[in-house]
Amino acid sequence: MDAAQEKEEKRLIALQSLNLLNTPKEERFEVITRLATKIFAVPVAGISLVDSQKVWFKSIQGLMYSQEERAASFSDAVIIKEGAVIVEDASQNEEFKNNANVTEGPKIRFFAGVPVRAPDGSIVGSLFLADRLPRKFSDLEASTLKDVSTWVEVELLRSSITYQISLEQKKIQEELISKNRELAEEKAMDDAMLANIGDGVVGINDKGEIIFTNQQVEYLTGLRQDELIGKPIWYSIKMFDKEDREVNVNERPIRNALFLKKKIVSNDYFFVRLDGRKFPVSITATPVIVFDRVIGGVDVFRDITKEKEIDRMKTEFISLASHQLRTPLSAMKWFCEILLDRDAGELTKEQEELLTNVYQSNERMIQLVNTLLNISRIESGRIIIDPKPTDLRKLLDDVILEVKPRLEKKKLHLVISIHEKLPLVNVDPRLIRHVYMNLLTNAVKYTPDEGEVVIIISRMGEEIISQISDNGYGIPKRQQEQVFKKFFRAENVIKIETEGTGLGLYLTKAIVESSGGRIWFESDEGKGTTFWFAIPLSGSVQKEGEVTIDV
Amino acid sequence: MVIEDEELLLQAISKKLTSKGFEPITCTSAKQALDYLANITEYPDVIWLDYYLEDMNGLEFMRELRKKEAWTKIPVVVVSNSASDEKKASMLELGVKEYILKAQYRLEDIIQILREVVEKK
Repeated sequence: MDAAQEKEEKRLIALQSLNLLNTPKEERFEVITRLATKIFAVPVAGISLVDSQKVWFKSIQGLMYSQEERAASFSDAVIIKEGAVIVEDASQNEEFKNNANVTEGPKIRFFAGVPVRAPDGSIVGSLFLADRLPRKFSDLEASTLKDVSTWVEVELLRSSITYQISLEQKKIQEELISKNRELAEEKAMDDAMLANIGDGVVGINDKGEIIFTNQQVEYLTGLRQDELIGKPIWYSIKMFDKEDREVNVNERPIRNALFLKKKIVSNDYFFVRLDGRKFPVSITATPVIVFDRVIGGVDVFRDITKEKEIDRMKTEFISLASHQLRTPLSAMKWFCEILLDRDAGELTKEQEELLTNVYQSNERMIQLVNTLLNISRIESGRIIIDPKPTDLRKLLDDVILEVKPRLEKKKLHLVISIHEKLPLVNVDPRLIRHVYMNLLTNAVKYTPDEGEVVIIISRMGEEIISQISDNGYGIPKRQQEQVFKKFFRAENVIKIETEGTGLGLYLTKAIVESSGGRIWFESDEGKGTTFWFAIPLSGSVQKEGEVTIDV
Repeated sequence: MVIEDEELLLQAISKKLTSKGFEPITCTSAKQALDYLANITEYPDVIWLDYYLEDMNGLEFMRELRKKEAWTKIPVVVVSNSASDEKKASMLELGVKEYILKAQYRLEDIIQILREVVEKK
């Protein structure tokens, strides 16, 4: 596109954005052309807008035309010249004497036109005067016509602004409509969710008055929605504590959530149905905060009678198992010991061997019970996580000391490398000790005599990484996916090392994860295995619980 | 003195202690033990106490034992099936010398611990 084309393109866009083409007469333009005929004492005065093919007369006096062809028009001459075109007698003018407007039609002799510009400066048309008689046009008249044209330009500016505003308004309106539709859709979705989730949901305003409830609230409390709306939540839905005392308004989770501006979760309270039956609830009370101001809150609750019951059964089972299983296991252990120690008389070689088998099987059973109990504790989520600033080097030293006899027995070579400036990490030392113990005993167990075990503790970014490698039997590729599964034992070692519950790594992984860390490994059958576990430098999150693991 | 309500365990413990040169006084309940202590003047060197007894738990037994000045001098070693940290801490606070998890130890090891406790006295 050449420069001229580009200019024309720009000019047409400016013209379009005035929104004046082929539009009805407007008094604000009429007044200008009327005035022009009087000032200059001519029969014809007009304002032309030059479109790509046509010339539109926005206002014209003395002629009945509203438009004409652009080609060979006087108005186009103004556009082409980009300045005033003054023709005092067209019949004598070389450029215009054969023009159709001169030879026929209005038979124009006199023409004076000045450009009018759109707000961006493009010439979009002209203000012109015309007569059927030749006429003189002085410089003073020419400059007056130019002055009048600035008035036209002011009106064009107004048109442009009005059009822009109307476009903006239209856009805003469209956005509003689409926003409204989105909101309506979201609301329909929210309503469907609220109505169909299993939890009771109560919304309140900043005064604690209930503004909405879902169907579950009625199902759980027996209170109808219309009985609740508008009433303060703390007087409408009664709440009791573990000692069966009614919970004071100031202690209600939702009240605290609004007051402290934070989410409060509690499993310690009871709601009461209309029939008087109390049931334990899990409550999540959340403040609704807009621009740092609490405008209300949402109370979400569900009946946890079943969970509590299962929890209680699980606790009972754990204590039952620990007591009832361990008693006979202890008896077997100790009677075997008495026999093996010859406290009940001499034994033949064969009797001793058989008895040793019994003793060892019993030991495995004890180990199994311990691990099962630990798993049950950690799975129940009731495990205490009690992080303390811990020196991992010291923790590891203790573990190594305990494993040392086994290392020496197998003549294993132990290499240890610990980061020089290892910071104290906030972890539960009992739990992490268990992790080291498990990974190290595994390495020792599954490495043949005179093998090598390497322990590296390093810092990588925001984590402390512990690596325990061996050059032992390794884990077959196709079984690697199952390594952390309960009761898994690799088929290549099950005959070499008959002892093992297949629970160690399962428990270890659970411990690492509940401590906020992660664990992974690589292994090559026949070449060895490397386990890594990472603990965040920020440490583990403290967790209140009821039980610890035994080691 | 051994206080253990499981007859079989008591039998094993007693047999091992005897063969190691101790003269065990065996009791199957806390009440039996306390009654026995009330009627003697020469107290046992050490008490082997199971935490969970039919008639009272270790905590209650230790409180009973605290009631008589002379009894507080008898060292107590708890040998129990369950050892939560909390339980262990409160028992050690009440003067228990050691708290051992039953199935983890051989009799011989426990007896060694008893010997050390007696010697320290």
